[in-house]
Amino acid sequence: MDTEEDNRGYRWETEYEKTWEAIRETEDGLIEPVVNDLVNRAKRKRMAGRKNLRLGMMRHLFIVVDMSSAMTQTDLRPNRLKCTTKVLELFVNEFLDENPISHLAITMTRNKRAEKLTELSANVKSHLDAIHKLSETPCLGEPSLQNALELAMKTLKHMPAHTSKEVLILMASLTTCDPNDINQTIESLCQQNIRCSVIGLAAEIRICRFLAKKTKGIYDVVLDESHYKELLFQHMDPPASTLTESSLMRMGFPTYMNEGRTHASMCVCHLNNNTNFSTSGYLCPQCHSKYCELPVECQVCGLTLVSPAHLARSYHHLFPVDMYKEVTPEESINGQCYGCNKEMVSNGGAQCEQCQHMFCIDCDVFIHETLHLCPGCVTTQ
Amino acid sequence: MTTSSEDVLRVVEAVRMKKTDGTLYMMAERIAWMPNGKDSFTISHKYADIKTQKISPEGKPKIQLQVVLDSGSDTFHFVNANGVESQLNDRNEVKELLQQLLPKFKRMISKDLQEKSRVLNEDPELFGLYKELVTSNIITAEEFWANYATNRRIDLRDKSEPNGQRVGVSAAFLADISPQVDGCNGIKYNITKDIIDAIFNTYPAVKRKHFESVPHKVTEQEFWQRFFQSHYFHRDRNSTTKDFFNDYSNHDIESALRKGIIDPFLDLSSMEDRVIGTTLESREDKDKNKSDSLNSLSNSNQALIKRFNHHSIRVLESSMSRSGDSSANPLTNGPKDPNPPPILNGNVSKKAKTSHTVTTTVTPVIDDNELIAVQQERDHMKRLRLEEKTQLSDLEDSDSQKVKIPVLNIANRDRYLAGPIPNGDCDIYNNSYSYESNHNNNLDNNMFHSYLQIDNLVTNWGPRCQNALNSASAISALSELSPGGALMKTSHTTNLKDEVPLDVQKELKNLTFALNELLRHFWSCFPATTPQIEDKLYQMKTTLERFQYVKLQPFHDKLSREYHTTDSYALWFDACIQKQFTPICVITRRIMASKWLNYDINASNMSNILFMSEVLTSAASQGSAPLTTTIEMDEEGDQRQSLSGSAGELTPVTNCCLKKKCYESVLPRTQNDLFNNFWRIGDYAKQNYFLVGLMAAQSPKQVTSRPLKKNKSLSWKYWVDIRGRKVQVCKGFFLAVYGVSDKRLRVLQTKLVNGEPLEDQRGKYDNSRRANQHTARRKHEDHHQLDAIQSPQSAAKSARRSKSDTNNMNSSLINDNTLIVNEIVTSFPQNFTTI
Repeated sequence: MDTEEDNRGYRWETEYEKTWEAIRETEDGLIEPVVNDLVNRAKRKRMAGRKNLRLGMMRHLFIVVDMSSAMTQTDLRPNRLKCTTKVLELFVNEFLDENPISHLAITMTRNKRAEKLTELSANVKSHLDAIHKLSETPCLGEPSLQNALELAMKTLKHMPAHTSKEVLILMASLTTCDPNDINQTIESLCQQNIRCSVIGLAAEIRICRFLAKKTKGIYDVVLDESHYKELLFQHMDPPASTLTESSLMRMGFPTYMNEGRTHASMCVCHLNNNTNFSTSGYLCPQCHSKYCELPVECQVCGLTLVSPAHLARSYHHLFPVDMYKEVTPEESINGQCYGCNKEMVSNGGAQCEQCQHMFCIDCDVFIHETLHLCPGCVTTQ
Repeated sequence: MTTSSEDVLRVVEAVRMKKTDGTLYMMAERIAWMPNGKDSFTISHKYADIKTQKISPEGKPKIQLQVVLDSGSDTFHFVNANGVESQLNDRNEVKELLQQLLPKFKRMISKDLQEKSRVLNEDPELFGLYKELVTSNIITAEEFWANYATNRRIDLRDKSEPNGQRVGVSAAFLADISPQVDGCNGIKYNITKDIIDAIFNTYPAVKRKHFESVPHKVTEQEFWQRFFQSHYFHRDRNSTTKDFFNDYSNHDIESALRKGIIDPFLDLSSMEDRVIGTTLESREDKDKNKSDSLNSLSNSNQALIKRFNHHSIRVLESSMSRSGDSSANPLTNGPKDPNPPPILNGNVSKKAKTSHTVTTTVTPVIDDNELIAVQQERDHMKRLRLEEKTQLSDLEDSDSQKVKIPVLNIANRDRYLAGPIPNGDCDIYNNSYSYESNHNNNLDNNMFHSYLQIDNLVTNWGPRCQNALNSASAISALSELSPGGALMKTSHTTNLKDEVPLDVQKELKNLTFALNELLRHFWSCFPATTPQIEDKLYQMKTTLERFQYVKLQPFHDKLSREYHTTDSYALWFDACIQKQFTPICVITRRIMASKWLNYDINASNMSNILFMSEVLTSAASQGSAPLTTTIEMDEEGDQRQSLSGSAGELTPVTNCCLKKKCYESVLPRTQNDLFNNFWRIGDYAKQNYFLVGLMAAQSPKQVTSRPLKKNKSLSWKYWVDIRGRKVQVCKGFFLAVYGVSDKRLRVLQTKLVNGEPLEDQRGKYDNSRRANQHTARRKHEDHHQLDAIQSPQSAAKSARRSKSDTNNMNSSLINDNTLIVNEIVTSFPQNFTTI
């Protein structure tokens, strides 16, 4: 665990209401940079060393939310459930933005059973709706790790090998109540190459550690709300792929057909309810089926349909911007940030090692988190 | 006699059937009849197919028995030479046997049917599909259940899974049943089905007892009453005679301990039951009291601990026993171990079964082999346990982990970040893209120029307001250009949901759904690597064609009939009908889109399919391979051509209109494709539909006060369809490129306006007009093959015609194939990407 977190002491010793005590003013009377610095130090740590890796960028992620009675505890404020839904909303938004060719599904487990809330899809709205509904669902009984894993496995095992298949469990309970031997389930998860990660909300549990270790996932236990968010967001980046051979896959790039450019037809995706019966939509270049949104896998001919922008946006995972070298305040003083043209404040900045331009911390974070391009390198290239 | 080893229940000789004498056999599953002097059955019916049997009434001279089937009936005439009596006997024997047998098989069918109807009822979509496909004979019912329903049914099972999920037994399930005090010295327990299941799973003996005694001996309520009484009241009393559930408590810790404790970190023998607070000083007291009070205390403690242990073991075993079941289940991939090894579990561990009563002297009576096996197993588990305890993740060599992750080497990063740049001389068919090595230089050059340009613009920029609009017109222009304005029509999408009648929509939806299902099966056949898949491909193709013929055409006709007869036709056509009409076109086009693959099938050119699938699946790196195959295919085409004579070709259109110069915008090669595609349709009516889909009437441009003259005042627009892209052309080009006569088009247009069906009317007129028609037909013969209804004198001609048509088709097929391969090869850079 982080040393700085340890120094703060236990949850019950430091009152939640006194979090401001951790924040001190800088000499200029600014608070925000200090907070950002704290938050981003951990991010820097995890971004280092992610280069030249073969990534499983096409992800199929099942999020399992524990809805057992342990979720109602209030050690995370206001309670574990509310905190989880709040963080999860942020995560889902960001996830589908950062991983445009990936799919999400949300399931929950309670009362010794597992239940699917949304199917695998890239539709942000349906996921957010499900999460919203989740926060109103009563928490009951015990969770079943096994049932949840089996449910996820049932869908994931049909996914092609070049995609990365992942399960992320948000586990509040300290026990799991399973119908039979969970070790066998873990065994078959290993065989299917499904990566299971667990974020514990209470304490470390052996079976979760075992599960994560066996399936090459990550197991962490949260300390507080901000740590929770941090742990969850570390699943934003696609995991390194274990597949060694390259595989080509067919993709179709349909263009949006608007009024008058094509015939009216019914979309395949909403045929069951609320059909989009109009002249607009994306037509599959192979079989001419219509879809309302991308990315999607053509239900008729199985072609993966994406927009070029989706692909391009995924590439930043492959070519992350190198971490900037941190510069001491003395060196950076009187300099200007190349990003925002502001005077560098006294707490130092960062320097791109390639183009030698200086950036303030805000810009540094923005470049690495959102922009994924070094403005200095791009202009001098 | 009977070839198979079927059970023959009865053999009745002298049975006449259609005036032939023979023998009737009644087997276990079928009834069969063999004529005398032959050794095979001419008639054989499964009992399951037989609906009813009928017998001739008493007193009739012929003693007969009729079996009624779905597809007709067979009558057996009993002609025993011994007279009417024995004939009747024979008949009655058969009748009675059938009476016994038929209901058996009927029940079998009805069970199957029930199951099917249940599935259909539960899934309205599937039901719709069934109605669309099976009732219209597009596919058979067996095929439907074999192929189309399977996925659905599995889905269905998945959906119902959350309720049917198996549930574990919580260790605290008994404690969770919180009793309520009912006020009069009684306690009320509320138990749910979940709890009952948990109890049954944990205590199989209780389940057995429940099965035995409820409801014959005791009521459900009484049973559970006794259960709780036994569990909470009698537990510590040794009143064995009263206890209803006495027998299950005999299994105890000893039996569970037979397997021994594997954990090397736990030494049971060192454990001792000690009262908290017992110190050295009180040792004497303790010794004193030991004989009486402590002893009784420890006894009750022991009993309690015993019960806890018992409960824990039971709960654990309940999941063990079921995991044994599931390992035999083929669905789980786990090794089939009939005897699953003891589980090391950190949470609920077996090591909890500690009790000071346990000594090492408890040795199970088992034979040597088993002992060795158990010993090995124990050693293994011990090793695992030790490994787990001694390995710390912090101490592990971090490098050894990192080596495993494959490294990605990307040579040219620009390929990911910049799009392919088309070569200068690209056209639609030869769209070659290249990543030129010097493209960076180009780019820099371009960038530099554009930079100069922008710089120039910026430095010389000054506001020139004299040409600006005044504010009023600026606002009106803005409103025109904002969403919803007159100039922004293309940006907003109209939902046809509100404009099109609901029943039409519903039917269209059903059609689309069924078509999607069919197409899904069609596309799943690619790549066709085995003969089975190829067969399926054929089958799917015919199914699709049947679907088009049986379902789409009538719907198409219905739509055009219903909406063309309205008087305010000109308005309707533009606003509404086209929109309703065209979905069908789209569907047809989707079928057509799958046709380029069909041509392969037509030619039964397996190798081509194989090759294409190879091309599709393999990397694009070997550019030479596709080339050689195109050559091969060309050769093949030559062979065919030489075999079958000259093939019809279209001479490129080089002259049409002055204004649009359509022949310039459509390459000769495309023209040829268009021509071939059109004439490949074959059926005259279908050709008509195809043409109708490519033209549309416009309301007249000038508004006149005169009433509209039918047909004359309409101007028509024409398109050609170049792979889904519609290009507007002039009429002259349209006629030339499809090789249709002006008259045919005029007739078509009149029909369209009058709302007549577009089917071929030629040859169906009365005799007085026949001569005229005949000459008209002559004209057409140059271009199209005749349909089934034709006069005998032209039959020979049309035979020749159809032969040359197939040639035409073959040659165009070759063209198509080469084109496709070219297309595939050239489209690699776009369609493939490494992930």
